[in-house]
Amino acid sequence: MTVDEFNQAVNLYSDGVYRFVLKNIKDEDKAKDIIQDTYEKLWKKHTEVNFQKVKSYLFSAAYHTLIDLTRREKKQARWDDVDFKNHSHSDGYSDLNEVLHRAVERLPETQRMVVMMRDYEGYSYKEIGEICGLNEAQVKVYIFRARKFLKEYIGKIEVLV
Amino acid sequence: MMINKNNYEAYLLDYLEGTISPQDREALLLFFELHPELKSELETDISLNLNSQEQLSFSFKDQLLKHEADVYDLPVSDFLTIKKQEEGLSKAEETELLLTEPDQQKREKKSAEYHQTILKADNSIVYTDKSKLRRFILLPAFNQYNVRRSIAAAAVIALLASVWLFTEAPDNSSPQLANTNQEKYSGQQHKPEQQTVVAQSKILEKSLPNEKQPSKDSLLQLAKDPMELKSETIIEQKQKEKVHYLATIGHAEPFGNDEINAYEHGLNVMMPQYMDNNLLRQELASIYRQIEVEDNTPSLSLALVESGVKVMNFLSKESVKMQKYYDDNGDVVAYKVKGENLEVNRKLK
Repeated sequence: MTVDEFNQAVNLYSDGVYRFVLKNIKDEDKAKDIIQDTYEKLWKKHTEVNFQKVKSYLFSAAYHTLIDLTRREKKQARWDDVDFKNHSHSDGYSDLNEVLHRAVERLPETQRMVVMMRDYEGYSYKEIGEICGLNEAQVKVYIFRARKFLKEYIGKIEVLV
Repeated sequence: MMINKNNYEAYLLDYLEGTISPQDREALLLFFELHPELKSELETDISLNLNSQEQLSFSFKDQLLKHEADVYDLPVSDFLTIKKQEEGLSKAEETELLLTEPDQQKREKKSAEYHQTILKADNSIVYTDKSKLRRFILLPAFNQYNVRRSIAAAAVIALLASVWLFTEAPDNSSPQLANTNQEKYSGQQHKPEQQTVVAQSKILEKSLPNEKQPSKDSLLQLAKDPMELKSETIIEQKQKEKVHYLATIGHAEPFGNDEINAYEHGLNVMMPQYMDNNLLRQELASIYRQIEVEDNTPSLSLALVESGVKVMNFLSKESVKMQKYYDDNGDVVAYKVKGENLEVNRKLK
C-alpha cells in the first residue's frame, strides 16, 4: 500500500471504524486513541497490507484493541443481569433505535461486535470471520443468537412500556 | 409325559401356534377338562408380534435427527425467519417455514420484529482528526539525511562567518597611539593620528631590556619580608622615565578629555607591572623557601617512601624491607627498599 492509498484509507474508513469503536465503548477520547493506535499499526505495516484488505485490517485491529479494553474494564452486562424494570419507562425511550442500541450494549461483546460489523458495514460472514478470527459458522451462530436476544429485549421493553 | 399345572403352558403355546401333536392335543384338552378354571387360556390371543426392525430403527432415527435451527438453539420458525432476513431462504426452506408457521399474520409479525433488530449506522458520527492520521511523502532530494547534512553545513558556515566577523578588529600586536598632554602644551596643531601616544601592552612591558631578573638571595629576602617588595617597587618606579605606557589591549581611541589624570595614568601603567612582578616574585620566593626548608628537614620524598613501605607491609604482611643510611651528623643520606622482585637504592644528597 502506498502513502496515497494510506491517506485514502483514512478518508474512506476512519469514520466507520470510529463509529464502530465509539458504539462499543461510549467514550470519545478512548475511541479517538484507539483510532490513532489502529492507524499507527497500519502505517507500520502499510507496505505489507494490500489496499483491498485495508478495511478488514483496520476493523480487525480496532476489534482486537476493543476486546482487550473491554475485557480489562469488564464493563459488559449479561442478559440475565438486566433489570428490566429499571431500564424501562423511567429512561423514557424515545424511539426504537434507542431501545435497540441499549439492547446491543447488553449483548456479549463478540455478538455485539459481529452484529455491528454486519449491520453497519454490511460485511459477509466470511469477512467478519476474517476480522474476528472466527469461522463462518461461528459468526452465523453469533448473529442469529444476537438477533433472537435483541428481538426478545425489544419485545419485553415494549410490554413494560 | 403327563400334563400338569407346572408344564401345561408349554403345551398350550404349541396348541395355540398349531404345532402340537395329536396325542399331546388330546392330553391337553383332557387336562383342561379336569381343570376348568384354566380353560379360558385356550382362547389366548397370540397374534401380538414385535415390530419389524425397519419400523423400530425408523422411529429411533427420527428422534435423533437434528434441524439446522438446533445449532443456534432457536425454534425452527425463528431460525427460518432470521435466515430469510439475513441471507434469504431456498424453496424448500420457504415451504418448511409455511408448514412450521401456517398463520400468515404470525409469520409477518415475527418477520417485522426481527427486522427491527437491524442496526442503523449513525452517519452523524464522524472522526474529526483525520488530518492527524494522514502522512506525507518527502521528496528524495529532501530526505532526512540530506536535510541534516544541509543543516550541518549551514551551521559550520555560520560559525566560520561569525569567527571571521569577530576577528575583523584592528591589529593589537603593535603599540597604539593614545592622547597625551605634551602635544597640547606645546601649542602645535597635530594631525589626528599624532594626537595619540604609544601605549605598550603588558607583554612588552615585561620584556624591557633593563629589567633585572630577581636573584635567589633577593627572593629569599623577599620571602622573609614580603613588605620589602612594595617599598622596592615604589623606589624603582620613581627612577623610571616618565613614559606614558597604557596597558590597553583593544583599540585605543583618542580620549575625549585632553588632560590625563596623573592618578589614572599611573594606575594604568603601574598596576599590571606591579601585579605581574609581585606574583612572579612571590611564586619564586615560595619555591626557594620550600627548598631551603627541605634542606634542613628529612626529605619529603623519603617520608613518602616510608609511608608507602608501611602501606605495602600492611597489605602484604611485611614483604617489603627498608633500610636507611645515616652520615656522621645523623642525617639520612640514602635508603634501600627491597621487595620480593625489586630492590631500589636511592641517595638523598
